Amino acid sequence: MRTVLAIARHAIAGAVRSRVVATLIGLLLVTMVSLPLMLKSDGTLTGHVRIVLGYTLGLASFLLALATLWAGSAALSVEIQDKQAHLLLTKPVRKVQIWLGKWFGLLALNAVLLTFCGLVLCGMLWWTIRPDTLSEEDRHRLHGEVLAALTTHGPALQGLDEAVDQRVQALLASGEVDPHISETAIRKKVHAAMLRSRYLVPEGEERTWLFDLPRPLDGDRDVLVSYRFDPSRPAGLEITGQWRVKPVGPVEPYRVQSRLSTGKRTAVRVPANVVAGASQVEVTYVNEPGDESGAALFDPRDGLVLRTYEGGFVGNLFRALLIVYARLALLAALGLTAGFMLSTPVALFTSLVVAILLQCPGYVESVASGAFMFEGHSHGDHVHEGAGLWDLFVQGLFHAFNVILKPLQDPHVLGLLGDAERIPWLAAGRALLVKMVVYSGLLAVLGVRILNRREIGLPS
Amino acid sequence: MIESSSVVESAVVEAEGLVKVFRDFWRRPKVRAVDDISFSIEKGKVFGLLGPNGSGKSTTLKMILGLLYPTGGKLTVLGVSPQDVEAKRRIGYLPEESYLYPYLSAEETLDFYARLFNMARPERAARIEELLTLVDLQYARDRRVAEFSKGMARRVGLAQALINDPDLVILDEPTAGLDPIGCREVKDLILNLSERGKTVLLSSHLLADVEDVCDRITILYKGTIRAAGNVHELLEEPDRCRLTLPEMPTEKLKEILGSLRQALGQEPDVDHPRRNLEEFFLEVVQEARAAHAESTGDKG
Repeated sequence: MRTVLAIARHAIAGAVRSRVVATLIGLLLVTMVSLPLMLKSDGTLTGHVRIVLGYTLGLASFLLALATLWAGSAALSVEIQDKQAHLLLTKPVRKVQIWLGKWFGLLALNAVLLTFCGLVLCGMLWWTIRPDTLSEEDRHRLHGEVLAALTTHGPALQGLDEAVDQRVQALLASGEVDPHISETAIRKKVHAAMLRSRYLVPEGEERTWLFDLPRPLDGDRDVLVSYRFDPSRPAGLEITGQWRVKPVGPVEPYRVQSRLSTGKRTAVRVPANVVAGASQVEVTYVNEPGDESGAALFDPRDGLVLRTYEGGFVGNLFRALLIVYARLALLAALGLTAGFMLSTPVALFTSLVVAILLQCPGYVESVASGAFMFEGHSHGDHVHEGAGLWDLFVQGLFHAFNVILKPLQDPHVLGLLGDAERIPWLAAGRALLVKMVVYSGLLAVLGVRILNRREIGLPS
Repeated sequence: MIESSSVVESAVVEAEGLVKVFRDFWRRPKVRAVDDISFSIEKGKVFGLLGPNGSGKSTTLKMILGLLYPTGGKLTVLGVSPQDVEAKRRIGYLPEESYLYPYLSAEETLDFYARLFNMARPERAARIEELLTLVDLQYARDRRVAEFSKGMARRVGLAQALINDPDLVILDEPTAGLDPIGCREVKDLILNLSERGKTVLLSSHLLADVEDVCDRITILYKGTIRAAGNVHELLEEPDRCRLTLPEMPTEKLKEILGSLRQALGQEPDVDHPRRNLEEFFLEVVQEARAAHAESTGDKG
């Protein structure tokens, strides 16, 4: 372990002395502070805070990811090129100790830089919502809606699956369906249609949704009913209605009059005492007749949710940074292993390609499933016929990528942080375990095996 | 070939039928850099590896160090494979260029390499002090290696090669970039290491250096051994004899030469013995130093 620490210490000294760290800190500071000044929010303080959260941290993690890939790729490959590795490899050092030492060095640097980013972000937020610029009520609202860790609960959709089953069986039995369309595709379409119907409130009618909560609400914090119209609705449409919220049982509901606008998410604040102690909450929307009104259709994906307070912002930021840190650790491992077998530019290019694929799981999955790309062979839900050899090869390749990359997919932490959605400890722990232990471990084994076979002293 | 090596019991390095073929991208043989060479290096000896550029010296050294893998033959270092990590605890290596980290100071460089040998802090500190004194770099211990002259970097390189007090010291062009005083010091150091029972493998273009310090040499040419053996035996001309006489009157000398001419039946070669340039240079510098010390009262 002392050898590993010596190599890690040396890697840190190298980065610090070569002014890489100073340059990065300067770059991070300038971009993190200047970016929110250049971007325009929607004019609200909430919007500005979301911009600060999303863009600054997003940019910081992007810069750190690039720097980590570069540093990882160069960590040993530059030493091999400059022949310092000739000395290192003639000392009693195992290849795995070199890999681990370099990796730990990069981890330590990333920990420092990410902590720096977190502190700058907190400082910027503190400055944005400082007491002399904001009323106590606004501050309270901000801490309850944006700078918080909220848990989102969807409504219970009782009997939906059974209803979908019955409808699919009925359709298949009727013989009215195109035989080329698979049952899975039919089920998907029926499910989507029936789900939409659960979120539809015709004009002059009302609909009630039941929210099952994992535990009773403590009554200390307000609850938010957050809603958004289905994006297919015309923009600018306004619907007048009333929200009624109450615990299950014979109690008078809390009523809020609202004018719903299409195109943006809105939240209704329900005072804590209304639902205190409840583990089931009923939310009703009454679509009142009006001049412009029509049917109210909420987005079936997340158009109507109940949001409850679970914790403060700092804890959520910490978990988000842990997930970003796990990603940086994986990128460091990726660059390092690439640098163990290739020259610096080739290693950097290779690891960059893999990192980009990591960021595009949807694309990889689509190609792997053959949903597009095979022109003339694939049409949505239809069975493929006559796919060429090259098509099959590419599909197989992407299938392999998909299998490898799928466990590496994380929740979109920066989006969650901006939406004040609670990032679970489990997600952070999973990211650390999968990326830092399992995948980085596999990359370490690969890197060491390659270096064991590689002849470092070849004439240049 | 003058002499083929035999297997020696106390061999520190032993090569038998060693072959190294470099291949191209498609794995096709490109160059046969080392072609079936055998030699052994005995414990406590100074072994010189000589040869022109491209003769296979560096390739052989790199195979001994485990930086290249032999294509064929057998190679053991300290009784084990060159890849054995534990054996590397007993090896010190000074490469042809110093290959040091430019952002570290001399002291930090030695500290880094000492840590790789798991040396405890007090032992590390003492060893670094000792080596900085040995290579005469205490005054520059905190300066970054990037600011060093080639000679100074060479001294740091030499110090790192000795950080673990190795049993086998492999030196590739150890005097390159050093001034004559530095060269002499390195040669003295090599002899000192040999006296302490250390084995030294030396590769150099400077034949005078090799001649001064090596017990045995091997001369490579295009990957094969062209000559090998004890330096004195190889350089000695057994069919000729040199007679050195003290200073004497001319008449007396003429008388002796006449007798020799008569006995040999031919004219003997007569000249005055010469010092080599290195000895002369060192003598001049030493005198200058002494004069400077006398005039300034500097005892150091």
